[in-house]
Amino acid sequence: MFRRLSMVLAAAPAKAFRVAVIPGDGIGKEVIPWGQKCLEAVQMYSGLRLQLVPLEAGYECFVKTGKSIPDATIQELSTCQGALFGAAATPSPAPFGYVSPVIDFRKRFNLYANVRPMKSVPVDTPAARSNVDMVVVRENTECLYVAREKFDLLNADRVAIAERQVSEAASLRI
Amino acid sequence: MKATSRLLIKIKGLRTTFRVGIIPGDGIGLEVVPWGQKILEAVSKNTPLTFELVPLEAGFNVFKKSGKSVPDETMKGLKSCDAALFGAAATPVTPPVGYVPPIVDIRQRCNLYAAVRPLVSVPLDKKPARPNVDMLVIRENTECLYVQKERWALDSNLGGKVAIAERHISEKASRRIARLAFTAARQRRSVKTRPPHVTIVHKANILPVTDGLFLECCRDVAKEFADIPFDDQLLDSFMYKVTANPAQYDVVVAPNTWGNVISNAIAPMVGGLGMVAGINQGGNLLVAEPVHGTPKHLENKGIANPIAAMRAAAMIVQRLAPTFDVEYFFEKAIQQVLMEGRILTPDLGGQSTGSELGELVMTRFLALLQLGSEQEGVFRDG
Repeated sequence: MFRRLSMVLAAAPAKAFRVAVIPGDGIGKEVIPWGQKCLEAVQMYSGLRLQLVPLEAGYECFVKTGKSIPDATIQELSTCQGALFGAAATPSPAPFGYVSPVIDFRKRFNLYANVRPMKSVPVDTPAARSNVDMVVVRENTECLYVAREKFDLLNADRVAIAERQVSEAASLRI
Repeated sequence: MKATSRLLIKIKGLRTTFRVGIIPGDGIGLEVVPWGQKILEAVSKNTPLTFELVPLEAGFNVFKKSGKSVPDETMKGLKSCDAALFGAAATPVTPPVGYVPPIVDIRQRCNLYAAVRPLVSVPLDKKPARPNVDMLVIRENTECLYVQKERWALDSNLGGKVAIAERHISEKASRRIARLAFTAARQRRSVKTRPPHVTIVHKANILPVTDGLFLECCRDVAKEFADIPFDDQLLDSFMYKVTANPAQYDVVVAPNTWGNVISNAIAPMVGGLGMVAGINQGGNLLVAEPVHGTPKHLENKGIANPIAAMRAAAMIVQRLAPTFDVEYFFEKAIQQVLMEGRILTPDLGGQSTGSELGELVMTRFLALLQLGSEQEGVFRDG
C-alpha cells in the first residue's frame, strides 16, 4: 500500500502539508504523541512531506493565559491543512469566558461535518459486536448546538427555552 | 381463594375492584393487547381482585374515521378508569395538520407527567442481551422538545429555509420528575438487593440554561432524600457507560427527549422492544403500554411478541393492588418460558407465533396463580 502511495506521490509535485498537533488537556497529552509518531512514520516511509506544528489550546491553557485558544494558535491553524487534536477538559458549568476549543474551531473554520468511522475490532468484551462497518456523519453546526437559550416566566413558573435550529442549507450540505 | 384471604382484604380495607380501559389502537396493538387483556381476566378469575374492562378506541385509523386520534367518548371513558392498557398507534410519516399522536394527547390531557420503564435482564444468552441489568428509567413526559412548538424562521442570512423548534424545561416539571425518581429509588430499596442510586442524565455543558435548570432542580430535590446517593452524567457519556456496563445503574432520570433515546437504546440489552413495557403516570390515571409501537414489518404476520403487552397488564395490577404482588407470579412465568426456550417469537430468536408464545405464558401464569392461591400467605403484609 505504501508502494502505491509513494508512486502516486512521486508523480505529483512534492508539496508539504502543514499539520497542527494540539495535545490539549489531560490524557490528550499522553496519547497525541503516539498520533504524532504515526505521522512521522508515514512521512519516513512515503514521499509525503509533513510539517508538524505543535500548538496550544484547552482548559489548562485557559487557566494559564485567560484564553482557551491563544491568538498564535488561531494564526498558525489558519495556515494548516490538517490538525490532530487531543482533548479539552470542559468543566460543567463552564467558567465565564471559557469557549471549548473544538466548538470554536468548528465555527471559525466552518467544520460543518463530524465524520466517525465505526468498525468492529477483534476484541471479545460484552459490548463489542462483530461485522460492524459504518460511518456516522453528524451535522456539526446547528441543532441544539446553536446555543440560543433564555429564561421565561410562563404562568409565574420559571421556564427555560432552548432553540433547536435546522436549516435547509446545512441539511443539504451534510 | 381461601376464606382467610378474603377476610384479610376486608380487615385491611383494601380495594379489590378496578376499572381498566383497553385500547388496542392500530397495527400490532390489535394483536398483542388481547393477550394483556387475558392477564387481567386471569387475575380477575383466580384472585379476589376484579378488573372491569372498558374497550376504548384511539389511534390513526380512528383519526381517519373521525378526525380525532382520541375521540371524546374515549377521553370520557378514560376519566372513569383507574388505569388503561394502550397498544400502539401508527405514526404517519408526514402527520396531517391537527394530528396529535394518541398517547401524547392522553399524556397531556390526563397529566401523565412521568414515563416509567423498568429494564430487567432476561435469561437469553445471545448478544445483545446483557446479564444483571435491573434499572428503572424515569423520563419526564410533558415538555422538552415534545412541547411541539416549531416554526419557520423569518429572518436568516443562511439562504434557504430555516426551521426552529423550542425545547422547554420548567422548574415545576423538573422538580416533579426528580421527586418521583428519588421516591422510586427509596421504594426499590425495600425490595431490591442492589444499593439505591439515582443517575441524572443531561446535556448541561451544551445547554447550560435548559439542562442547567433540570440539573439544578434534581440536585435540589435530592437534598430531601439524603439517604439516596446520586450523581449526574452527560447524555453521551451515559450512553457510552450504559452500553459498556448496564448492570451498574439503578434509577435513571432524564428530560423527555433524552429519556426516549435512553430507553430505546437499552431495550436490546433486556430482550428487545417485544419485552419492554412502560407506564405513563401522574394524577389519577395509569396508562401502561408495550413500548414497541407498530413497526410496519411486523404487521399482519402474527409474529409480534405479546410479552410486552402482557407485562404492561401485569404492571397495572401491580400498581393498583401491590399487596397481591402479581408481578412475582408473572415474571416467574416469563423466566420459565424463556429458560425453556422451546417457544419463542422471532425477535427472541425463535420461530413461534405470537399466539403460541402468549398461550404458553398464560398456561404458566395460570398454573403459578393457582398454586399461589392454594398456599397461605399469598398476600404480603404491607
